[in-house]
Amino acid sequence: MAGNEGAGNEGAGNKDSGKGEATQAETTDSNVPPKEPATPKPTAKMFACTACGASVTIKYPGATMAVVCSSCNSTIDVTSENYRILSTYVGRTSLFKPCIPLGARGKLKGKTWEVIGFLVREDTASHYFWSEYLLFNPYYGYRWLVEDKGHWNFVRTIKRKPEAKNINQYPAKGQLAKLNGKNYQIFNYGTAAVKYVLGEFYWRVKVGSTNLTADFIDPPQMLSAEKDGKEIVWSLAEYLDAKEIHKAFKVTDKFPYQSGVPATKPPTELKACTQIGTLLAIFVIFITCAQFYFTSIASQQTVLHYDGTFITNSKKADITTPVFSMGDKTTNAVITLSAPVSNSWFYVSGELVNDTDGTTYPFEKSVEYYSGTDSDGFWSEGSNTAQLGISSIPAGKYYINIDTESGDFTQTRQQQFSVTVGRDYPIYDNYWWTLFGLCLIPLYSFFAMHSVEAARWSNSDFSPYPDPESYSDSD
Amino acid sequence: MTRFYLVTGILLCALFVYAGMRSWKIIDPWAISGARPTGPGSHYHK
Repeated sequence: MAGNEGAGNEGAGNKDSGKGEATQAETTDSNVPPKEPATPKPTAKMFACTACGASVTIKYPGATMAVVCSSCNSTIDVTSENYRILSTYVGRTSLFKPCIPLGARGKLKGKTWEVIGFLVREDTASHYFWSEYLLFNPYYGYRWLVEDKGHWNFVRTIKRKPEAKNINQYPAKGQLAKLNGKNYQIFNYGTAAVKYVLGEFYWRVKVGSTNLTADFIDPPQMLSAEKDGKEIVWSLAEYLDAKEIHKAFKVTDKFPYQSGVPATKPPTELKACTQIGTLLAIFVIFITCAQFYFTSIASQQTVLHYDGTFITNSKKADITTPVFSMGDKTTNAVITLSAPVSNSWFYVSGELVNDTDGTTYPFEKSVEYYSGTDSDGFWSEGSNTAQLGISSIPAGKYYINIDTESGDFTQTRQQQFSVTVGRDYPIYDNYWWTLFGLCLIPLYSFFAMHSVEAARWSNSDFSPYPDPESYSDSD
Repeated sequence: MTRFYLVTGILLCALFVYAGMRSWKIIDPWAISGARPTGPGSHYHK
């Protein structure tokens, strides 16, 4: 199955909802953080492990229900008088090692937390593993740090039950859970099992115990439901930078290498893409309005119409048109050449000359038109007219010098041609080039966003993006 | 990237307006520019 990465990865199963809940101040994101009480001084309690006889210490006797013997890894129920063994673990293993040592204290979200428990859980379908660290502060209760492929989430259980469909049923793609006006989209659904435990816990944790889990995401947050028996516990996870945790707990070892895009990665690409899209809309509206303005004020005035004659299959030189005015501001010129060619061509080599300072704008243009019939019927190509534009012509008086040349395979005769000069025509090329330029960064941003979001959802069975494997299957 | 696009977009829009006001093509690979003296043959020039 597609990766169940993170299935139920927000907090360990069957948590006592009463003890792990976030305070009201946290859930309402108050700007005034509550004052941190003095560092708690727990009263430790010791007893002999009922499995191996080794000394076991409970750091928080009032709050802890289960503790794992650091010698034999048996889980002991500390609420029973004779320290009943909840589960035994076959030997110690170096496969699972907490990268934040138990007992380490660090300040996260403005409060001091002590790592008191460590769990490794797996998705029973995909056998995907992740680690969970139980944090404790006697004044604020329990929180979790969840590490998945080197990415970290800070998790707290919540009192308020989100609006969601029955999680006993397999959810449909796009199913939502709502909390505080935010929509969280289904990301993973499955069963998570406890594979390894260390430390002490506020519930009777057992290796092998399983929970039904459902994760809903609205990055950088994840809403998770865990069901064990009839009880459903909801928790809210938030992405946390690994460096922040590393620094907070003063960890000397390196944290696991980060790989992939986690479910709760802050949606920076999506946010940037949305902002850039908004800017693009503003820019497009602006240049469209500006283009309408330029078009509306363009006079599109004809300043010269010259009719001349030419003889086919011959050259004619030294034609000079009358002087005409290009107006009193810098503008563009559109020169239109027309000749009644038919299965022949007419070529003009000319120059637009400023009558005052002699600046010349040389140009060449030809018109040609061919037609006939073949087995497919009538065909034609070319045209009797051709146009060229010269931009940024300074104000002043101008004339045109023309040399002509023509070719006709059938006959030699005199024909007419005309040269028309227009000024102040709207330029549409600028609009399209500017639009093209404006779209480049948004396109890059969109593909970057799409790539990251597709990678994020590649770990989900409920991805709104097409599965890349489906393409290769069809090959 | 948003800030970069904001600056780039404003510059492009400014260029568009400037070019529009001067009837100037922003990209014109076959642009005809003024020069002197040139032209075909022995045409009349001042």
